[in-house]
Amino acid sequence: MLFEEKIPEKLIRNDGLRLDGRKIDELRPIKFEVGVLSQADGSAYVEQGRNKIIAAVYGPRELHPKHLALQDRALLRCLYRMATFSVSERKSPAPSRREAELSTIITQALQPAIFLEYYPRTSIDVYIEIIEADGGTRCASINAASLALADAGIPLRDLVAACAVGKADGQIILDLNDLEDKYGEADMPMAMLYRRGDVTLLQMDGQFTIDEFNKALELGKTGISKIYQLQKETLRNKYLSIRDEVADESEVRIEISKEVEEDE
Amino acid sequence: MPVNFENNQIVSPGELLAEGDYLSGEGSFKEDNKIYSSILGLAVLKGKIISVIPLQGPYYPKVGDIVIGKVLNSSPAGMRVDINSLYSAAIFPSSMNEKGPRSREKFVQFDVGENLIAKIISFDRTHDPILTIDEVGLGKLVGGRIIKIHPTKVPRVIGKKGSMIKLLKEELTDKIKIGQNGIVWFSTNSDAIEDILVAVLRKIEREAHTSGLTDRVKETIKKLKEERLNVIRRENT
Repeated sequence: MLFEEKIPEKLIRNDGLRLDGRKIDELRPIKFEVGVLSQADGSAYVEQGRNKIIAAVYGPRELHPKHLALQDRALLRCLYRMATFSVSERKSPAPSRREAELSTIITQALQPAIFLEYYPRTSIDVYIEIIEADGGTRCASINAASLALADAGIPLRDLVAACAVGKADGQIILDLNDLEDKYGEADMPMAMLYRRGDVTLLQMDGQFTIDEFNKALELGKTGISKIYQLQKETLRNKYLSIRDEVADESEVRIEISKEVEEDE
Repeated sequence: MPVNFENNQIVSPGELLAEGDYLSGEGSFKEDNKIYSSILGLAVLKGKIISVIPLQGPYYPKVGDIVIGKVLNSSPAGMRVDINSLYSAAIFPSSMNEKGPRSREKFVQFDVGENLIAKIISFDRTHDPILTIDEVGLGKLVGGRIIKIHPTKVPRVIGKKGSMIKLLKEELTDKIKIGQNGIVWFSTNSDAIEDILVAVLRKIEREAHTSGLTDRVKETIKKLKEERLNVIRRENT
């Protein structure tokens, strides 16, 4: 390894803040963007802390090979892939076991949200590319994929928002980064259809007591609600910004026509 | 009962639109007597029906629609046509009006890659759309240029009671055909007009969800035409 990673002695500093300066119930800075790829039907770019992820949606479209087609609904296929340069030690470009697993769980997390029965015999393909990884990529990927699906105009019951909760130095923390994920005591990624309160992804690594688990679940929900609001805003802003731009143009025009009248 | 939105408000998937005695139209769904939006679009209340006009999304075939497509595969038994949709369409000799033993002989086969304008005569969830070209104004498209726009924005290119398409025909070219599937075919006698038309279509597509579009397009055409004229003048002097 080029840079030797130091194993931190403590994940929560004496002043009660985490190593990156966040409070224990604070999310990393998030940036969402939709419509970033011109050739895809829908796309999204997500930055969550140091994670950088692009999701592209193609479809619904004709499914090839045809024998995979489902007669009563569309087939959802997700592909999660990490770029070779996304982690500090070069990742082999060959598909790994981990990537296959994450592709499957992301598919399962998104599936309940989509009205797949509207488009029988077709496929909806979601490609997720991790440009830079820093812990919690599966959650950020779900956020990106759900935005891209909405951007593609695919009917959804609700947006899917995801966030991880965990435990470090005996405290329940929100939105773990890579270090906290590796050296903390527990990590629990979760995804929800927030409006309905349906949990579509819940995995756990490490140990929680029942009390801690319940507390973590509540903290996860508050984190997800913030992400959900941000997703909604991002989608609306894509079109609102054009509307405002046009409104500005017409204001300019009105002013010009007034000037002309005054001149006359 | 009040609704949860103003007309033409931009809503995102899963947003609560209304509660109680309403019906859900296109782009919305009902759950526990509440109406939610299922897509990103503009919410509209018409009578008791709440629908969301999409801003993005695929073309979903509808019986009676006029579409423009490209031949993918051709044989005496029929043709497969790409209609820029989630399903590819088919044309069979039997979908001609001419019935009886002679229908098969009358079937004109197109070459692969040729474009045609056709009408959807049959489609549902269980089978692919079937087209016909046996009507006035339908058939092979020769020459001209084809561009794709978002299928959801086709109504804006046509305009209210055809106002936009009328404007384009008057100002630019009368040889223009729009498929409901978002494919526009046009033929002009000058490159300059062609470029202006493409620019204008892109503008309509981008600003489809704003009001006063026809007026703005009118001005843009005027501006672009003047610019072109200036270029020509400069070249001549």
